[in-house]
Amino acid sequence: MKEIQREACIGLFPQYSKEMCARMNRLDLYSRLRGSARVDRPESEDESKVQRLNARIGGDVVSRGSKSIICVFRKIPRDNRSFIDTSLLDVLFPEAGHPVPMKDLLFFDVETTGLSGGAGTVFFLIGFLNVGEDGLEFTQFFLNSLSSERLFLEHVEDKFAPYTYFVSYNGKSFDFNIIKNRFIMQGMRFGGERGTHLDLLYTSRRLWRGMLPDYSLSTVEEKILDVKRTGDIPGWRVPEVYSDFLRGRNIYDDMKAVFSHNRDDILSLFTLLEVQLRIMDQAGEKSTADELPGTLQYNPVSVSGLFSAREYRQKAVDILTSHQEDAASLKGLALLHKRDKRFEQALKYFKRLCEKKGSLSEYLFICTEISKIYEHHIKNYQQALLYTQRMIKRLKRAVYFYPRGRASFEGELENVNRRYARLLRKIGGSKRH
Amino acid sequence: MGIDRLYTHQAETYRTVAGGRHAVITTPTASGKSLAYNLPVLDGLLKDPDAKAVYLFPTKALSQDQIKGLSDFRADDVRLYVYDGDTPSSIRQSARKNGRLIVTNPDMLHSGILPNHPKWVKIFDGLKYIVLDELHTYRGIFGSHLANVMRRLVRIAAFYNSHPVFIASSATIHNPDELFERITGVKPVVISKNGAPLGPKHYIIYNPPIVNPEQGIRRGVVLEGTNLAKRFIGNGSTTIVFARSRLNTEVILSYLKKAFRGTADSIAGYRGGYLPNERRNIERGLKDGTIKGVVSTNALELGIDIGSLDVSIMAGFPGSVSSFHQQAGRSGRKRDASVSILITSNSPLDQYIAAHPEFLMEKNPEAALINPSNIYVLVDQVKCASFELPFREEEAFGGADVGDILAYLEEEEVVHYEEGVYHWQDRSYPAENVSIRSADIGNFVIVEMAHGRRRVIGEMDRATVPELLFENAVYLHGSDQYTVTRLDWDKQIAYVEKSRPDYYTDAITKTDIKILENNEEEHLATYRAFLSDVLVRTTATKYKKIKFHTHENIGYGDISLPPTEMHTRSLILSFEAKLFSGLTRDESEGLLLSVSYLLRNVSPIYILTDVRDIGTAQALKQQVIELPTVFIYDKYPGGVGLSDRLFEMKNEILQAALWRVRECECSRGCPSCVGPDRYNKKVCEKFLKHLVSGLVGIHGKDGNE
Repeated sequence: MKEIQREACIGLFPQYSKEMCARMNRLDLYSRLRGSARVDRPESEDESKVQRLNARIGGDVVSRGSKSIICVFRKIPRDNRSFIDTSLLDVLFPEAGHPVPMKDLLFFDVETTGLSGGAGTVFFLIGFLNVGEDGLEFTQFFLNSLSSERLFLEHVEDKFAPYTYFVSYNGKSFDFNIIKNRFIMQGMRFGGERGTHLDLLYTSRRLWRGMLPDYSLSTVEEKILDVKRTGDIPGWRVPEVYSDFLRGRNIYDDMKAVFSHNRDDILSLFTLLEVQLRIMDQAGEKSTADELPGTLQYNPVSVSGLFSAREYRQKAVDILTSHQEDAASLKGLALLHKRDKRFEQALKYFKRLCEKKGSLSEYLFICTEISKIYEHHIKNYQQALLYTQRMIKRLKRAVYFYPRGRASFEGELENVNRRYARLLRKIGGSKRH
Repeated sequence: MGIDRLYTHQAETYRTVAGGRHAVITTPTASGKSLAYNLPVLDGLLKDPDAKAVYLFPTKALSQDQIKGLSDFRADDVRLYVYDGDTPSSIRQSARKNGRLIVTNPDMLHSGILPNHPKWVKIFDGLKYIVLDELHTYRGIFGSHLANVMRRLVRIAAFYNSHPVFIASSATIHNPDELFERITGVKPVVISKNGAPLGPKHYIIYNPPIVNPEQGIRRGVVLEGTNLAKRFIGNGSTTIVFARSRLNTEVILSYLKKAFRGTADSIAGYRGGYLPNERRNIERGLKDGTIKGVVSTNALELGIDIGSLDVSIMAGFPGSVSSFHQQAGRSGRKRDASVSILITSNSPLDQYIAAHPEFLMEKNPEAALINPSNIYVLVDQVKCASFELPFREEEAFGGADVGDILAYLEEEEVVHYEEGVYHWQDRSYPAENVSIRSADIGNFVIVEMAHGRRRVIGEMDRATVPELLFENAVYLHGSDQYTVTRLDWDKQIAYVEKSRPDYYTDAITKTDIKILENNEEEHLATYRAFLSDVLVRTTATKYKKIKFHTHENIGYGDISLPPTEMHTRSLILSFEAKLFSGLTRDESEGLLLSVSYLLRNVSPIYILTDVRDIGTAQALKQQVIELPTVFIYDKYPGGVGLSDRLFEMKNEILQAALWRVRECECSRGCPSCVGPDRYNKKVCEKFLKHLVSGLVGIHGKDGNE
């Protein structure tokens, strides 16, 4: 009936067919509601649906009454290479306060029916990865039917329960929220809320700040891990495939591709953490620079920021020291030394920065720092005055093209002049004594 | 805060709510309604540390105003949050976690809070009070949506085992209890007896003298209003003038500022969009006497507090009895005398009120109407509701049977049925696409093209576009004149250019109405009345070019736009053919036009609505009924209940129309009665008398008793 109306209205108003159709459909809605159309639902096809999917997945169908889910367990044997040094994990889990062994980590990733994250968004597939006795253990749970959610969540909870350290990609704001929502919607308690969460999206942004076009997992895979997936199902199709599966359409191969997509995401997470730990470990050690994979680079300033804890301070210095050609690193180094009250060292790096060609605001910042160190810590007012004079000179040169306008220029100049006057006073005072 | 004792209505509200009963407070403006509901809620929240409350205000400005009043209580244990579009995300999180009292608006509740209820578990868990301020503003399509938003809220609260008490405040309307019940689904205790002291108050209705007896034109409300205001302000009385449009506000303001040239700062203007501190300045100025006069649009009508004044002047009937009371309530002193003056304009409704002031003083006949079962509204809302919680097969949605809608949504593959439950199963976020303030989200943007630059100068709703924004239309905006150069129907943009032709354009539209289904039917002596679902189809085919000042017709043009169609509800009146005997075809058509003009213009007496929300159409011989017929229909798709009330009140409305014609002081017919250029006053009066007397059984021989 809908189709007939649609065609009829296109015939009548060819130039406005879209508009008319929308309107006709609304009318049609009205007549259909009055006619109370009922959908023919396939009778008890559920069981064969699950079996047919599972035949392709090779998991186990776990049932309780009419509810059932598919569970997949795989062992990935430990290969010859040993797992990398995980001693730096505690840097990524600062809340732990102690070394975190790899086998305490649980990697997870979900596939959902939408991206909005509201009460109506469901996750129907969740993949886990953890380090077991003799290799990696990979687990997936799949929600066969929406009415089996309770059984599904019980399994999810059991998997999360023994763990307190979780690793995900964008899971902090997305996956975890949806999981929490679903537990609330089923009136169940989610123990996972207790755990500590490492979101590799955040560490990726940090390690490769300003170096990647975006930080989607697929971009990171491509640019960093040098992996290009073939035959992968694009993420945007996932909700529609599941929707078709629920409605009994024959899309088992696509559904299987969703399982593989989820598995690949999880495996990437594991590899990504390995790579990140390796970069963190080797950063700052000149001799090992060659061993970093391929074209792999990192942002030294933000990586050094990871090592802000006292016991890693030297590491941060080393990382920046090994990138001295880079102005940002030099600045980071100077600031680091200043923070640790090594003023001579700080001065050395600030002065080197001062010689580099930099923007006006950058120049003013550096000269101010130098002048402050001379004035307040080394108490060499003459030197402080010298750098203040340099600032005034450069400022005055810039009067007509000061980037933030005349008023701002006047303000800046006033600040510098005030500093200058104060220093003059101090010099005069110290001479008198 | 230094409250020694309560007014009786405040005490009654406290007792009602503390006793767990729902309440609606309908005492006048400035009677302390906020305190009436704040008191039991804050008391409840302080006594029960798990209890939470949600306050809904129709606008953001009102929320901000109320927060100030609430924080004056210094109930520090009750963490208070405004949650609206302007709330920064860090505060949003804290509101969800620590909030005890959330102040928000219906839009935010609909699209932000309810669809994310698991994030708000702390609020829903223990949700004990819902406060709806300015309940009467929730009417028409907005109210119809809100009623469904409340159904969703109640449904979610029940999921968390909470069963909140509803407290509402409302202007005086005919049916506060009915409106409350239709919106919240529960019956309230009506608290209407005002316990606040009030000095003597005078109401004056001033109908300015006729200056053109032939056309029945009276002296204008702007000048009359200005003159009255001048005298009161000159005598030292604080005065507020309400004008019916922004333009009139500006005009009166400039006249008054000129009149008080030396002390122009003592006159202030007030429009929507003023910031709270600007309002505070006016309020302070009125209190300390530096401001003597305020000129306002209806923006000051809602419960924003500016203190109370000596005189309120309404330059034109504000459109509804409840608005009249809201505006009149701006003047009122605890001990001294105060006065409210209504200056009536030429419009039929104003003239009706002038002749029947009892409508203002007796029980307000205006009903605020909503139709939560409007099919378009309901389908959209059921979508949103099923996103929030699955529907059980036999589950009712606040009393509405939604089985058919769920089946429809299943067919559309938006929900998925499993074992007696409909689950949401779609990637979208439905609330995002449902606007609760309008039936149709397709507003057209008006873009001015000048010197290669584009500038947006306004918006227009889709239904009006074919009448005013067709290509080559002369479009008047403010005091500027534009010509429409291109209308992009798909992108919903009208491009205009400044121009100065010496004519304006007037579209000729044709409205066809098809009756889909009669819901009610009544056969009377001289006419038949139907309440029906109809399909209204409007086509604009041509336009007239009309010369300014002389108003002569200087040409025609074609309009090529698709017809607009709308399914809605209508009151249909079909008249016995013998009532038209002796009339020519033209006269008969004119008579039908006059009758619909009158009915449309007097209906706001019984319905809280704008005349613009009511449409009319006529047929000399309606296809199915085969009689001369007029349609008075709801201009919202699906209808919002206006026609239902019109059907119910048809006798009263016909009577009111008769009175209007009979009492009009013009000689042959004028815009205040039968409409412009029609001059059929006698015929019309006789016709209406037949209808009215026919129904009470008195058959006058020729209508002259």
